[in-house]
Amino acid sequence: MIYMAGAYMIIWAASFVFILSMLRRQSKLEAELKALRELSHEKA
Amino acid sequence: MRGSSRLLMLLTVISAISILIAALGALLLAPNAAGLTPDETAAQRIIYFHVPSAWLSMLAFGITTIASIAYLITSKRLWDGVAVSSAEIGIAFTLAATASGSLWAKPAWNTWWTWDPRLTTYTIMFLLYVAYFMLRSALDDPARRARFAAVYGIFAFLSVPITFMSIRWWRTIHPILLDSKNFGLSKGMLPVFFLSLIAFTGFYFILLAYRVRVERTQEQVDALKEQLGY
Repeated sequence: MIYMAGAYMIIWAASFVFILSMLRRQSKLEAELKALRELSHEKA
Repeated sequence: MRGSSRLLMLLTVISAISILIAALGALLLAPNAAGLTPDETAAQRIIYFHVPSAWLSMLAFGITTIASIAYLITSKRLWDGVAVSSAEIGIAFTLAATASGSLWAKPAWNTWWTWDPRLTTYTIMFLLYVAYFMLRSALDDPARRARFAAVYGIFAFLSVPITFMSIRWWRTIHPILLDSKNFGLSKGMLPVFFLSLIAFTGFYFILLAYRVRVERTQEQVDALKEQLGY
């Protein structure tokens, strides 16, 4: 039973970590994009 | 919220529900395999997530190859984004399949790991795709990086059919689920198994859509940086 629980937890944890890192990257990039757009407007 | 974002959100919810149903089916509905010890019987239920994880890793590397070919033909950066996104998902699911397989192997084979042909070729496949990311990180120019990675991605895919066929070509202790004559699961196990396979495949395409969105945002950031002279 412990092996089955361990395997399921690993698959869920891997999926969760992957999704979380992707969402963090997306929000970081969106913040950078926003800052760059503001800078672009200021320069214009 | 834009229409495409709303659709993606809806598909994400459907995917999450289908994965949950597949998990419940694997744990509660699927019948026990016959002739196994209690430990093996419980561990056997790992296949409902282990096999779909392994399938997704191979599907993901297949999509990387198709996107790489598309990039070489069209030179559109979108295809490079799809290729790298899919390879990253493939790496994640390769690790998940390896770890879950190892947890199944302990009660079934009495060892966490053995250099069986399937495990060996799967490890080589994993390392080839790790090298794909090393190659990408070594090249600064986006067009050059995309071109080199596309060519490498196509060659790396050769490891996928070899890995798939390894248990059929060489002597192995790894179970063969699908051969030319029959399916290695009882009839009662098949509905949950296929449900898991479909749910995971849907999950892959959802992950890919989100990951490609990250690439497209990165592309916009790079374009603005270039425009501003950074």
